[in-house]
Amino acid sequence: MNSKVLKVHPDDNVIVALTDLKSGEVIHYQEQQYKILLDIPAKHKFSTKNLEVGDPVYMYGVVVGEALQVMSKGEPITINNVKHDTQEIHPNTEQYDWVKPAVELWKERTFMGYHRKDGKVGTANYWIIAPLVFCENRNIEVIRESMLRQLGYPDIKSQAIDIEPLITAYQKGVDIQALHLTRIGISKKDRVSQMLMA
Amino acid sequence: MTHHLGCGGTRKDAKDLCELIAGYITNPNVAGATILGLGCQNAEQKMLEEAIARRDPYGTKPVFFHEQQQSSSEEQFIEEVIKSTFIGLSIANKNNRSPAPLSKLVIGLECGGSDGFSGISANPALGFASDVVNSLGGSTILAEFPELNGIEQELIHRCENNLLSRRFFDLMEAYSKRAEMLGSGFEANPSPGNIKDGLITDAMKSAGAAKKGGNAPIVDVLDYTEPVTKQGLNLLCTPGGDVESTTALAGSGANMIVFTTGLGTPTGNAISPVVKVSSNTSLYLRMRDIIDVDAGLIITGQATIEGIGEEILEYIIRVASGETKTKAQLLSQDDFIPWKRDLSL
Repeated sequence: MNSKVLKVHPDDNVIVALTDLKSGEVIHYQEQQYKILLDIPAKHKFSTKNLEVGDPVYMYGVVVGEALQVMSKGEPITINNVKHDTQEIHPNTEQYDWVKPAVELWKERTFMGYHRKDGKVGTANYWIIAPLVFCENRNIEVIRESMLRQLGYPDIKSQAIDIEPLITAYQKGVDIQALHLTRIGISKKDRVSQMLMA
Repeated sequence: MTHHLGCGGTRKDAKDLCELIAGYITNPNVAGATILGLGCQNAEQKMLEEAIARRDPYGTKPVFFHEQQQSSSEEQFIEEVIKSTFIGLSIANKNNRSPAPLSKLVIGLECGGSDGFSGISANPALGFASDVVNSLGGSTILAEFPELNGIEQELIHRCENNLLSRRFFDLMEAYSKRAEMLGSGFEANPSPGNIKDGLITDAMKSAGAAKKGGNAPIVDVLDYTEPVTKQGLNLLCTPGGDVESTTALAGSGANMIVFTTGLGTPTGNAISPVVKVSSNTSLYLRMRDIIDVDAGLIITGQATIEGIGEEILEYIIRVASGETKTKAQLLSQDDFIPWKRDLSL
């Protein structure tokens, strides 16, 4: 691609800036020329033609808005010149024909999963401990405290930051600036056990 | 896992909670469960047992129930739960991995913290991967109904029959009307963050979001907590909120979730590994500890949509096989937020 802009669908009347565009720049794209009328930041869109008030705005091949003001080719769309609009919904009457992607290379691929008795396959093997009601949350937390670490499961507690340096600095009576500059981080002991478990 | 439901609400919400938990227990990523009840709560044990039985009629998953109001002290209760969980783990430990075809994948499709590139890079790449999985006989799930506001016609066109398109339309209408009744309809203008990032209208945002579903025909339309039973692309009614929707995807059977983001978000899921795909390279470089795959290379022209789609598939296979942990897993992001649809009483 390596282009500065992108028209997502052939029916679209807006084009996306993939990078910041400058006012006055001329963009050459799909055998058309677009003079950019204002600075347009990346991710924003500009009109591909002059639009009248009430004209539909197309993107992704569908109506995504309606022009609130007269707009010129190359002008960015904003909340001031476009409002939300869509095509009216009607029941489906046409057949949907789908072009499947080529999947030959994936047909023989497998993943190593947990085969369950009902024929489904899991990508993990969790045991759930859950409450039927919020009254039991505290007990769940106690069970979590009691079991996770001792069984060697990764636990958020091992990511806790060691704040001892902050406490020490505070007790020494340092000022706020110095407190900001104090270095704290995951405790060495936990870093080691994290590395062992990973 | 913990949550804030189970009582003090409507019967419907209590039932939804039981259906969701049953969906989690019968998800293929789960070996079994220990369930703690108080005893008097709305979400009764028998409601959960019934929901499990409907999904798993032969009772193939071990589930141990404990009720606090039948115990003599909190300590004694907890000891009982720990012992039965320990026994459960010893049972689960007997399970081992073995080869499975890609048709056994059930991929939840998710986007959050979207930017103006999401619909052009990450979402189409994920859509390609989704089409491949569906072509191989697997399933994928597109959810977040409020984020499909404006793109309904295209999805209706892709429904395999009129019953499905009717159901989709009805679920969207019902949800949309509820939102309007509460004074916050689906069409509420995109957020300031969205607008700054070039998502000028809601329809533009939705059209980009729907790209995650690729081009496959829609084989089923599910309400919240209903399980995926058909191979192919499924639609699931959930809110747009990141954690409520990923929670629902796992509850309906997703054994893997792929989550595209333009602005960055760390969230994961308690039982279904969440793969994060960035829509732009600047995010990938800046937040290496929460992003797994970079689709920003599509924007710079260094990769194609199909190329990144294939990279996502390769990553999915590695994570599904236990060879790689996702960034969300490494950070212990076991997020779980059930959707509360009704009010507190």
